[in-house]
Amino acid sequence: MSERPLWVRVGIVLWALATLAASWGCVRGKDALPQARHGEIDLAAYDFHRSGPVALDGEWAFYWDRLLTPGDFEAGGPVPEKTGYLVFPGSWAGVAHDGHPLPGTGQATFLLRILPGPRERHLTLRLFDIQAAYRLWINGTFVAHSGVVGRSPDAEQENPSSILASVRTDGQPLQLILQISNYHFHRGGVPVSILLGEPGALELAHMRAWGSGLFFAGSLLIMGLYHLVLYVWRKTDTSPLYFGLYCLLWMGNFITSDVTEWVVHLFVASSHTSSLDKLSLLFYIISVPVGYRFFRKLYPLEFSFYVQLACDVSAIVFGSIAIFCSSLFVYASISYCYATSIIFITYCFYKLYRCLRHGRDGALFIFCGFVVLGMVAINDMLYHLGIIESIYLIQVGMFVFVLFQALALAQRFSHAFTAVEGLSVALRHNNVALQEEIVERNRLEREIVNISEEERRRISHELHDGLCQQLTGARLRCSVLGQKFTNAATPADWTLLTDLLDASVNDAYDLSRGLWPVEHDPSVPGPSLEDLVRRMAASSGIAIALHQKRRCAKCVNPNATPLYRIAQEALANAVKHARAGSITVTLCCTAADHLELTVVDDGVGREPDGHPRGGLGIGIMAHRAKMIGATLEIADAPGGGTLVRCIASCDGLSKTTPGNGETEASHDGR
Amino acid sequence: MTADKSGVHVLLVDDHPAVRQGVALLLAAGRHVVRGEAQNCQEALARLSESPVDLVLLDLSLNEASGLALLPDLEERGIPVLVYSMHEDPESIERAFRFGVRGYVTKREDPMVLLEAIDRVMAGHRYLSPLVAQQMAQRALVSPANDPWEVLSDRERQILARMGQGESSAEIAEALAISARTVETYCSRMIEKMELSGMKALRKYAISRPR
Repeated sequence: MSERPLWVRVGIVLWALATLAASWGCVRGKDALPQARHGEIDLAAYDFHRSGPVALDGEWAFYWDRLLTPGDFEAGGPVPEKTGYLVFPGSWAGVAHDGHPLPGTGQATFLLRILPGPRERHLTLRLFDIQAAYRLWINGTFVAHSGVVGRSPDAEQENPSSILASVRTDGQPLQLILQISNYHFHRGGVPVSILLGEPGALELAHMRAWGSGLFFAGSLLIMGLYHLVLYVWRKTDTSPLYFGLYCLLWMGNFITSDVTEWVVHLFVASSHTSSLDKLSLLFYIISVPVGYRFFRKLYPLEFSFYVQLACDVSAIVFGSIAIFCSSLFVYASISYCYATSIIFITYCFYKLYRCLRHGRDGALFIFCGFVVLGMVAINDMLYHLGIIESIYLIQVGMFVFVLFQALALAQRFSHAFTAVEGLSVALRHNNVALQEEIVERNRLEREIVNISEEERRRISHELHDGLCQQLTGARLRCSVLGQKFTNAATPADWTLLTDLLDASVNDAYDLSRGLWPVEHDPSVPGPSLEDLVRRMAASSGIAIALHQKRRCAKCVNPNATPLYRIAQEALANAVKHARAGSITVTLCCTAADHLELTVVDDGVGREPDGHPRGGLGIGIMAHRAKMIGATLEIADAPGGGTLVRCIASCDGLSKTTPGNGETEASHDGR
Repeated sequence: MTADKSGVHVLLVDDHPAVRQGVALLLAAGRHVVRGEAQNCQEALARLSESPVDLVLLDLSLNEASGLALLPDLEERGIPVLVYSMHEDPESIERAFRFGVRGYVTKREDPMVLLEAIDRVMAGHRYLSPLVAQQMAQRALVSPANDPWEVLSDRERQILARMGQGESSAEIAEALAISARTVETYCSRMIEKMELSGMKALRKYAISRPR
C-alpha cells in the first residue's frame, strides 16, 4: 500500500460519486416532454425522429375495479363512468376513492387518447416490467398482453415482462385501452413508463439492454470462475471463493432480472417470469452474506463476526420468505430486505474506511469499488421501491466493484511476487553465506586440529630439547659427584637423587615422545607409525605387528598424521580395554588412491550391545575421520577381537594437511 | 693424531650448556681432556682449528642445524665422532651411522656408558649404547617403512628436493657443484630404488611430495 494522503483517497471516492451523480442527472434531466392531461396526450408536434421515443406519462383515465374492453367504449353505448385520472408511471395503491384509499391489489382499466399528428406511419409501443397481468387494445384492436388477467389471486397470473407492440397510425387519434389486474404485487399500476417511438429505436434499446446485460454477466462469469479457480489452487485463502461466488450470484441476478430485460430469455423459453423474479431475488439475498464473508476474510480485524451472523439470519429469513410465501407477501416485505441491506452497506462503508485508515492491503481499491457499488445498490433499491425516480445502475456498479477488486488482486499478486523475488534473493544470499560459513567452520576445525598438533609438537620439543637436556646435565653432574664416593660407601641420598633424576629423564622423554614422536631427520616431518608401534609394544608388552605399503607420493608421514592419531587411539583402546594378546596394524595405499589403516586385536571384542570399548576415544577417532573425509568402521574382527578400519583418500589427506612450508620451517627449527 | 695415554682430547659440541658442563665434569673425572666446547658447527670448526682433538662428542640437534653437518669436515680431518644425543629413534641412529659416526650414546644412558663408549671408539670399534642397541633390535619387530623417500640417500634427497622446486638437471648440477652427468646418474639410481617407471614418474614424485 503506497503512502497516499487520506485526502487523495477521499478525493478519488468523491470523484467516483460525482461521476455516478452526473450519470443520474443526465437521466433525470429530461423535462418539457409531452405529458398526458385528462386522458389525452398530444404528440402532433413531437418529433420522434429527433427526440427518440416518448414516455406516455401523465394522467390516464382510470376505471377502478372494471375490466373494460373496446366494446364498452363504442359509440352509441353508455359511456363508462371513470373513477378519475391516475398519473403514469404510478400506482393506484393509496389513491382516494369514495373517501377511502384504494388497496394495492385489484383490477382497473386505463384509457389514453393519443393525438399522433397528421402523418401516416408505424410506431412501436413498449410495455415494460408491469408487475401484473395486462391486456392492451389500440383503436379496438387487441395488441398485446402479459400473463392472464383475472379478478382474484387464483384467476390472475402475473408476468412482469418487456413487450414491444406495433402500432399503425393514419393521423387519427389513437385510443389505448389497458386492462390491469394485480393480485401478486403490493402496488398495482404501471410502475415504469410506457414508451412510444419509431420502429427500430425501442427495438434497438431492447437489444442494447440484452447486449449490455450479456456483457456485464459475462464479465462477472469470468471473474467469478477466475476467483473460484484461484481458490481451488490455494485453499488456505477462502476470500477468492467468496468473491467468486459473489460474482456468480450477481451474474445470476442480472440475467434473471428486469435490469437486463430478462436476457436469460435468449437461452430459456419465456414462460412464467414471476418465478424468475423470485430466483433473481434469491440470488440477491444470498449475495449479501457471501459478500460480507469476502470482506471479513480480507479484513478479519475490522469486520465483526456478529454482523456476519446478522447477515446470515437476514438471508435465511428473506430467502425463506422468497421461496415459501406468496408474491404479494414477498413484494410487501422486500422493503425490509432492502432496509437491512442498506444497513449492511453502511456498516461496510464504515469498516472499509477503517481498513483504509489502517492502511490494510488493497483497502483503497476495495473501498473505492464498494463505495460505487453500495451507492448504486442503494439507488436501485430506492428506485425499485418507487421512492426515487432513477434507473437501474447495479450492472455498472458491480462492474466497477469487480474492476477494483481485480486491481486489488493484481496489487496483491505483484506485492507477493516482489516479496517472493526478494525472499529468493535473500535465500540465495543466505545459502551462499551458509556454505561459506560451513567451509570456514571446517577450515577452522582443521586449523584447530592442526594447532593442537602443532602445540603438541612444540611442547614435545620443549621437553625433549629443554627439560631432558637440563636433566641430562644434572645426571652427569650427579654421576661425577658419585664417583667421589667410590672408596667410601655411597650415601643413600645420592642413590635416591640418581634414581630420581633417571626417573625424571625417562618421564620427560616418554612424555615428549607421547606428545609427538620426535624424529631427528628433518625429512620425516610427520609422526612415524613405526615409532608409535614400537613404543606401544615396548610399554604394553603386547606383540604389535606393523605392515605398511605406501606407494603413493601423497601418503607420507605428514599427510598421514590424522591416521596416525586414529591409530594411536585404536592402539590405546586395544591395549587398555581389549585384553589383547597381539595387535596388527596395517597401513596400506590401495590401488584406488586410498590409504587404509586397520588396527586388529585378538582381545575380548566389543561390548555385547555392539558398542566398542573405549568411550571417548571412539568419538575422537570418528571426529578425526570426519575431518579428513574418511570412513571409519569399527567391527568385530574375524576370530574375535575388534577391528578398526579407516579409509581416507590420498587426495583428501594431502589437502587437509596444513601448509608444508610451515611444517618444514618448524622442523628445521628443532 | 694420537690420544694421550692419560686421556682422550675431546671437543664437546652441544647446544645445551648444562649438558656440556656435565659432560666436561664427567670426562675430567674419567681423566679425559676437554679441549674445547662448541654450541654449533661454526664454533666447532673454529675450535678444531685452534687445537687438535682426538674425538668429537657430538649432539645431533644444534639449535638450527643438524650436528651431522660437521661429519664431512671431521671425516676429512680423520677425527672419529661419538654421537651423544637425546634422539633414540632408529631412523636417527641409522642416519648418523650412514654419515660415518663411530658410536652412538643416548643421553638417557647411565653416564658411565659414555666413558665406556669413548674408550671403545678410541680403540677403533663402533659402539652402540645399550638403549640404542635395544631400539635397533625392536625395529626388527616392525616392518620397514615403505615411503620411497626412506630408501634414498641424503644426496639423492637433496637432488630430488631441488627437482621438486622445478630446477633442471643443469641447475641442480651447478648448485651442488657436480656435473650434470652425475645428477643424471643419481636420478637413474633413484628410479631404480623407488621402482619408478622412468624420469617422468620421478619428476612427478618430486613435485607431488610434500616438502
